[in-house]
Amino acid sequence: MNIIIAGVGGQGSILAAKIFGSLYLARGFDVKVNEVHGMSQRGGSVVTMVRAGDKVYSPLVMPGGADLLIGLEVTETARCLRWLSPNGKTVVSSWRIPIQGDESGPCILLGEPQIDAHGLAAKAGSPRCENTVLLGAASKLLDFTEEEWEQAIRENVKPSTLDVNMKAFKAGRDL
Amino acid sequence: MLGNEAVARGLFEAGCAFISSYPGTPSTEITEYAAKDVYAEWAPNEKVAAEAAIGASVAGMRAFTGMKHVGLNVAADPLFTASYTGINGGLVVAVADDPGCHSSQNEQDSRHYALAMKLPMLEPSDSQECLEFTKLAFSLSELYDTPVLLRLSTRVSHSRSAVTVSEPQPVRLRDYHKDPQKYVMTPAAARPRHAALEERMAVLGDYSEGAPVNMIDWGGNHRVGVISSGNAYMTAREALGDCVSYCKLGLVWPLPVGAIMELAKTVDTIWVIEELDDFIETHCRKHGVKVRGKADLSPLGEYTVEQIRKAVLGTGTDSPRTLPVPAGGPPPRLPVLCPGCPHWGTFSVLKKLGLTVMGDIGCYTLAASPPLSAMDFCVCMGASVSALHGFLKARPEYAEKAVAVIGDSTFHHSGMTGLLNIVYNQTPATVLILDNAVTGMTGHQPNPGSGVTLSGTAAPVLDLEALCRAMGVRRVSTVDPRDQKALEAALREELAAAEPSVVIVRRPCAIMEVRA
Repeated sequence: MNIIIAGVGGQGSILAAKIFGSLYLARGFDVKVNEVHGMSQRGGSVVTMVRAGDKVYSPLVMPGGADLLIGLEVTETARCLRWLSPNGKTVVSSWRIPIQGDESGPCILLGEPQIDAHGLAAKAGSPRCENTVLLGAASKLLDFTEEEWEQAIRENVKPSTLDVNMKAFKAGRDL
Repeated sequence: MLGNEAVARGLFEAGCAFISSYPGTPSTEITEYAAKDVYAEWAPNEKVAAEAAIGASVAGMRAFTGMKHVGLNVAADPLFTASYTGINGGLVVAVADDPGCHSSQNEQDSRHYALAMKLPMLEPSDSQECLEFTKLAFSLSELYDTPVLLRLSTRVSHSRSAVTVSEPQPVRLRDYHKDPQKYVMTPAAARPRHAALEERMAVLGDYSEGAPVNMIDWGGNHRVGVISSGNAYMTAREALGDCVSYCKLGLVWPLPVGAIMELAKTVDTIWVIEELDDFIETHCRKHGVKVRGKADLSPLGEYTVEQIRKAVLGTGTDSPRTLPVPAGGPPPRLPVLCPGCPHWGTFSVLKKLGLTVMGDIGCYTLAASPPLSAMDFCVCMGASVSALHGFLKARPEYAEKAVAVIGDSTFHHSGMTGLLNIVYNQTPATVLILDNAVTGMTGHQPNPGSGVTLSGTAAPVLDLEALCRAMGVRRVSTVDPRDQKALEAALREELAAAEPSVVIVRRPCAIMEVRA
């Protein structure tokens, strides 16, 4: 299983990746998660990768190798489409963060349905939980129980934000 | 566990009791994670950190310092000679390289330091090895009386993989005895220590031959052998699977030359797959082992699976999905200064005045990119101040239109000596110290200007104004970057002044203000 999470620094892609990591690790898979720290985090494009299998060597997903693309932002999703495998699935937020100096207008992703993750997260109690809304939507494509998801989320979020994260997760799962 | 977290766990399990580091991506989290279990501190720079760790080691304690690749340049001086003195308590130095320049000004290959310093170097390839190699490094350090280098890279430091932990081992402080023949490196003492060092490296070479961390994995094919280590090994393994046999090096210096020669007798072709320089390749050739490598690969950046397959197997990967992506793809989204960052105000004024800006390393380096595009020079920590001096000696007319811009942490790190040089050798330079009271870019580590240490205890706040005056700068002023008029007026006045001046541009980091 190869997962790509595309977003902008500060959107919570590392947290989403860690939750995927816990999920697959609990099932006994070998897991590698690759993160981006440091300079590129400052509002730049951020691509986080999760790989799970019997034995995983490289932490990096090959272009054309992703089974699932989680897009926290539309333009960043478009940038990462080349990673998706021909049968890969996408779970994409309609949220758009303008790029400084770019006048080209909203980027259109043909054929990729978009989710109002930002709105649903705000409704759940915190717009910062758009990542967990997308995890909820992605959960319908993956073979894990709601209990397994809750455990993975619990392991990775601050106890004080567990409730709002679970609400956001359910909002995504109920779509 | 993150690779860096696993190194930190290894430090704890190995009974390391003193850590001193300077933050630098991708090495920073080692010291931050370790600080939860082990006494740890942030030093003003990597040289101070390494020397503090050397001191603790001489006193008999297991000690550690961690840094990024360019930090090792700063710490190189003490380490070249610590290699002569050897250690008392185990001493481990982690250095995190950054192939691909994810967060750095260059992509230097730190393995050359192992060769030049004559120190053993271990290189883990995943988080479990990060933990195990850290513990092994302490054992080797005490067994062979040597500091040990632990080489990491961005992908190893910043990837997560499963780790099995164990209980920390109790380690007692070793006895300390005065031993000038070992610890006072006068020429008379250094000559015999050099001989001892060469003997030690020969013994370590023997150890390397049979070391469990250097393993040969006979795959389905004995015709092609691949020598590799670290992240490059993982990429090679991913790319080539069981199509080849592997010689996976955990100890990358000294190399197991005998084992490599044995491998050469069995296989028809040996590939060396190593990111950055042809370090292993060169040493194979030196011993008459014919290998393939850099001629078909590259000294640039990180390897991809596709690149390795193409070179070794002559085949590519599956074709990427063809999807209607907008023509040319989206424009790049570069990292930018945070909203509300005090540096916006500072660089807006510098841009408005059209100044030549000798820049430095930190968040404010982002001001070199659009929309500000207000930086002319940036090389390494502290170079803004010292290079402005040289620039003004070459072009005195720039005294009124050039400034140096350096952050508080970078000034503590290596800006002070440059300022002293300006005063001593006399250029009418104008130096801006951007004081946001924190080391921002690497993730808000406290520094001598923050009033708090890594362990959270209160500390004296460095008085920058008094420091600059004490160095002989008579014109020291302080302004708030939000007050653009005042900043502009201060700059005009100081640029016109015929003597050195320092403008301290002070406002706490916006993120720290939000958190408070």
